[in-house]
Amino acid sequence: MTTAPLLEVTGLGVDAGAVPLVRDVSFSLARGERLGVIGESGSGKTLTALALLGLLDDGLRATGSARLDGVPFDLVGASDRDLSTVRGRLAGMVFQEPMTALNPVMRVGPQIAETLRLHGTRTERAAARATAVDLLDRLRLPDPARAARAHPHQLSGGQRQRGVLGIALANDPALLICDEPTTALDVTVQKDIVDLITGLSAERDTAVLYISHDLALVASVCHRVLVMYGGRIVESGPVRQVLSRPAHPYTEALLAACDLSPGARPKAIPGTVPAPGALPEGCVFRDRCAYADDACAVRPERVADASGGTVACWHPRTGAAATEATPPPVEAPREAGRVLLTARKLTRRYARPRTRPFAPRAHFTALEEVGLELRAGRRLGVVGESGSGKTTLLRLLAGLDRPTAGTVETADGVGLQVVFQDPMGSLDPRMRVRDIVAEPLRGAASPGRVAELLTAVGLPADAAARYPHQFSGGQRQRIAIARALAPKPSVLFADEPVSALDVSVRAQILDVLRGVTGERGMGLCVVSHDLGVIRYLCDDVMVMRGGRVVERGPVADVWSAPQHPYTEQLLNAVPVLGRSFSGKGS
Amino acid sequence: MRLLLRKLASLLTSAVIASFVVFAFLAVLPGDPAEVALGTNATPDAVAALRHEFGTDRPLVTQYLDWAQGLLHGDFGTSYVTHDLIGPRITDRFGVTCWLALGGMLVAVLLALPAGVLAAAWHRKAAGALLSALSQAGIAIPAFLAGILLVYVFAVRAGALPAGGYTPLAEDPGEWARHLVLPCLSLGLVQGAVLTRYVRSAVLTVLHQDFLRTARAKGRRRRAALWRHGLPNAAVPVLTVLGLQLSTLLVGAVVVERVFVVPGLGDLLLQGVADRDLLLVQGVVIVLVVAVLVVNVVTDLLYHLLDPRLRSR
Ligand SMILES: Nc1ncnc2c1ncn2[C@@H]1O[C@H](COP(=O)(O)OP(=O)(O)O)[C@@H](O)[C@H]1O
Ligand code: SF4
Ligand SMILES: [Mg+2]
Repeated sequence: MTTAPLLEVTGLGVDAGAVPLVRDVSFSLARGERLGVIGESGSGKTLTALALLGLLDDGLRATGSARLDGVPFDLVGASDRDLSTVRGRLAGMVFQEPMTALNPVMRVGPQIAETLRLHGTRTERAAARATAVDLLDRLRLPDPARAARAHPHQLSGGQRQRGVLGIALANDPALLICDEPTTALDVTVQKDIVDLITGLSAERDTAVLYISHDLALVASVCHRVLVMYGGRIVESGPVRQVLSRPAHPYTEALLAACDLSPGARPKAIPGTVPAPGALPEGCVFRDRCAYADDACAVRPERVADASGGTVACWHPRTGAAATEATPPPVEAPREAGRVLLTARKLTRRYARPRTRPFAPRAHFTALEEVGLELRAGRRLGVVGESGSGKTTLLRLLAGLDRPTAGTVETADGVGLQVVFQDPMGSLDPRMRVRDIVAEPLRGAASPGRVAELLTAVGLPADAAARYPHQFSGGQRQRIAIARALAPKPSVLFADEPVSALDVSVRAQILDVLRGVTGERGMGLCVVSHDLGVIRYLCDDVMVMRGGRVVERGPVADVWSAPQHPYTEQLLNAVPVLGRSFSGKGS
Repeated sequence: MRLLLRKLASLLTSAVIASFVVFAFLAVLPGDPAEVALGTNATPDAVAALRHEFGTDRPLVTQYLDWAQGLLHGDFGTSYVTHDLIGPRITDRFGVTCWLALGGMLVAVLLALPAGVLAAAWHRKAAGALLSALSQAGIAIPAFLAGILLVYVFAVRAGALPAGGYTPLAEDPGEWARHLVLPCLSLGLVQGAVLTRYVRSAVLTVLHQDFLRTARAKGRRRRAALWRHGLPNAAVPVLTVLGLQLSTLLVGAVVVERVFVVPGLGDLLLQGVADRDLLLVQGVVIVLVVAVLVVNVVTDLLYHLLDPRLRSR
């Protein structure tokens, strides 16, 4: 291809006052090309995307240049008036949170039609509405006419995201920017949406800038990829190249951290992403890099490497298999111990609000006749998509809620504790860590015991005197686990314990959970939508759908030979790195 | 439609309960109308005769039913004191109070909408902070004080507007409006200051919501996005406050009527209390209560109309 690129970004930067958040971002994007942007949260991916369309918050300022083919002015620094002629017409954007991206008091169809009329693609209201319905149809929404008439709250997350896609694609833009468009969605829905995006991009020659923290997903969507860290691009290149033979130590570490494949052991990246103002001098990755030396005190320029990519590192990795997989720790074979908890025919119904006065109450069955046994030393995983009843089940088992029918029996002297998804929401911000951890012991905790618990979850002893907000997300989850371990429970429940965490931290928390259950003969019950997490962490798995268990068994068996079609569908929907590279031209 | 019926049913129930409470409350208060009418040195026989004439010797339940039945036909009974029909007096006065409350509301809304939206849009700038501070100060001022101040400035010093009194609309629309300006301003300014705070916080919330960014991503300019997508959403919480405020204004008019010598319901109520005119007081109170109930139902319905999330339940 020798034609001019569609988008040419040069030296893009974003500043919050005197603090640089994004620096030196340069890349180009050809028509029809799909470019991925990966990196941990806080690496500047979203800001880069927002800066391109002039959508940054008021306090932020963009510098550098971004030229879009067919636009006579530079996108950076253009007026709101000029940019408004580009946004929605030449460039569409899809955001992470479909639940809140649509105007809740306006019907979906008119929200799409608005985009069409705004740029003169359709001038008549009726014609615009009809086109909106066509669009929803092309986005494979069942009954598009009805969906167009619906208000956002009447649609599911996946349906809403199709609505947002409809807005972004209404005027057939040359560029589509997607910021984690499927992060909030179930895997099977994610697969549909991603297939749609790649399909439409190929069909309409639409270039896509695809931001995600999911490496395997980016591998399955994109031709090329940018790796960002500390507000800079540290590596770029063809996706297969970068993700199978990473040149930058950060990319290598990222890949090692998210590898949950059988026989592998995910390796956390030491330390945490520094705050934008606290980046090290020289190479941004220096304080976490295993290969750092004195040379790294000078910032490396990003230069072309031999294989068609670029890398900003003094000591780029070269070996094909730089990431020799560390095998998981060899565990003494754990016997399934005594039965700790037995649940029989658990059913939970919720009353729906009456539709008219005195009408009989309608019920919604969140969980139907689910039974299970938890044994000492075993780890049970419960997987399912949103609405499958997995959290309801966990709440019933942990005694946080009462079943409508059925029983939960715990053996004598069995204590239960729960770790929740949101590490911040579950910790009182005004309490010191030592008091948080000691809370379940009702004052019977010696400082020694607290220190012991903090060590068990891998926190420094001086953490005891600090407050939750002084910790990163992963560390907060460790605090929550320490608190749950304090009363020496026999069973630990964890509801999506790593869903709110970055891959680099996820590995650490999984190891902590694995460690504590392995050593103490505790029973563990983990609820997650992430199949990789369940496979890595658990011995047994239960697959749930619509409040029922559709399949259960040892993890290895279910993965290698799923019995239920739904399990198979779930397993196939998860992007897997090695598998993803196939079937895509470059 | 179903919702409308449900709301009407609940309105009726509340009204019945309210009428009962009002009746019961006044019935247990000391002060027999017959005794009051005849003075302290009337003979017991004369009092009994008058009681019979008034009907206050009948059981309370009968009296209540009688009164409530009359209300249904718009008959508020005949005053024990002035021997006039109460109904027409209340209707006359109610109209005046309604004008006051609506005028006050209009002032409040005209003030709060621009002030609140601007205070939110400029929340990072000095102008926004100044608007906030002004509204804060406004809240602290009681309505009657605002009234007295306004009278002093516009009526006494400038002589531009009448300091009190009232001219019915039908008689002379110009004079009617001139008489309403000051009382409405004094009612509305304070409520406007309160409302400004609510509008500001509603708009601020909306400003940071994702759908506003979506609106800009589809090519809406900043201000148009706020106008088309932000304000309809901000209106939802503001509407609830508006309903409450209209109720407050109806009741608050009582005080302001005093300051501006406006012959409204409040004036009538105070007169009734002074004369120990039980039936009159009962009538005025029940009218005020029902008016507040109606306002609430109307806000509720509007609320459902504005917010589809409530509608589909
Ligand atoms: N409005 C803002 N003001 C100050 N800092 C911000 C603002 N928005 C984002 N940041 C900071 O900029 C950095 C990059 O953020 P972002 O682009 O959202 O990262 P990513 O999308 O890669 O997770 C983060 O450290 C974040 O805290
Ligand atoms: S430049 Fe040095 S510190 Fe930075 S990534 Fe390369 S080896 Fe590590
Ligand atoms: Mg982001």
